[in-house]
Amino acid sequence: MPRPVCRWCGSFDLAPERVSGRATLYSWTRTFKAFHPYFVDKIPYVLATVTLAEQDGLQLQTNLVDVAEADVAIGMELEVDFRELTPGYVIPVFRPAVAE
Amino acid sequence: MNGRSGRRVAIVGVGYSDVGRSTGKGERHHAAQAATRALEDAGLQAHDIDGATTWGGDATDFAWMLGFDRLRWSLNVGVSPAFITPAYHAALAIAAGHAETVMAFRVMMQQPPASVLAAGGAMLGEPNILDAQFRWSFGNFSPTQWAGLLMQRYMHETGATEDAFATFAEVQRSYAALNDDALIRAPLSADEFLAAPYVTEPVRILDCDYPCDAGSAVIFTTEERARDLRQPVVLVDASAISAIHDMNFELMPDMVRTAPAHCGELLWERTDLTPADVDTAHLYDGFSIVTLQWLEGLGLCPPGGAADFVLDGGTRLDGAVPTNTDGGAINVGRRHGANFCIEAVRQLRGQCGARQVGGADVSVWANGVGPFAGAMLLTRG
Repeated sequence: MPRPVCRWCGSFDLAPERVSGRATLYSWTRTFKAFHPYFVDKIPYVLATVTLAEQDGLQLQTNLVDVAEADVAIGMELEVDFRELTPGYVIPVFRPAVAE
Repeated sequence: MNGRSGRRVAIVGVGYSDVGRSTGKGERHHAAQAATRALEDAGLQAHDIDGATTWGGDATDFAWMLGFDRLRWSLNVGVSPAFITPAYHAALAIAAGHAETVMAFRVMMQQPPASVLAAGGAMLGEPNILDAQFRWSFGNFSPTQWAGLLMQRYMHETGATEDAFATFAEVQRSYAALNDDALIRAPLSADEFLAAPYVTEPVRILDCDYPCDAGSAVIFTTEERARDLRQPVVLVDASAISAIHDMNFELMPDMVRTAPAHCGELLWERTDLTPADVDTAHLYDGFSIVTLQWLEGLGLCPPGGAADFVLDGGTRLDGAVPTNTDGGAINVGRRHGANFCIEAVRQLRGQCGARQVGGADVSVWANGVGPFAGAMLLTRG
């Protein structure tokens, strides 16, 4: 999560940095209950914690898309995709990586 | 070296309000009922209390309402691992000589039902709105969801299966059947558990504690004063609080060895007792995965071994460490840890009737999981 100071080096000179969009699946949960009206017609959906390829322990909260439950496996390679939640508001989601 | 300092502390009175679903009574009512019953239990008067602390409501408000003495010490607790926090600090205040007799409260009102939440009627406890965009945008609003992430990862790393959670639920319900204070008491089989719906797979509705309106109060004082009071003496042998991450449970780099493991290290450094001495355990079950993490964190079973421990009957009344003998918050209702403290005290006093563990001399109770945790070791005095 963005913070005003770096917990590793104490620097206040922080800025966004471009990443590869590659990650591995750390954990996931399929949500069957809508805890907000927006999600009433979207359940069930998969909430996931992924580890970005750039750094061990660099976790991101996201959704897992375009994958059948039987194919979900912790540790699987993922790549970023984007979804427009509402006009102008785009979020990063992840899907299984296409082998190169 | 046990890290002990200051005066020895005892627990001398415990009490609950009339706990229930949507009681129609407010925080003050539940606090007052619980306090009155804890005073009666201890054989103390309101003016004997010179310290107060709470999570939920305001300790000074409760103290004035109830006619406590002028407070020499008070503390209102915020985000923290539940009732262990006021309890831990109450014991510290007495050990340090800043108060003689402290009442610690947990007052908690039933949260709105999911239908209200789904209609946008309430958005609960968001301590940092700047972080929320990184959760809410992906449909992450509920603690049930981080519990799903923790449980999934736990099962992946340890090989635990849902059968262990089914047995855990069945055992807890068997205790609840023996407890008049429990809100849910009908027998539950492992198969019935496995037929219950998922909320956040692999977490089922029966893995979740049961929201209710509840007031709980526990009175701490010195060992010396406890010897003159009504109840068998229960001593605080050691306690510990740990915080290892911010409140973003879902981003923890290790979801299996979380704060209970750190808290366990701290606790056992501060006592001459060992995990093998524990006769009863009372371990937070906001979700059943939490209790499993505590069994491991406190060394009551090997790391990664909690599922086998449960399947082998370790938590049963005749098991290696009878655990959550009141039925746990899943069945007695969400009293946010106070039920574990109160049940531990009652076990050590020998007041648990059909669910009494014979010869209980050492009990541990614990709260929290993930980023933060706390535990307290009690002994029969």
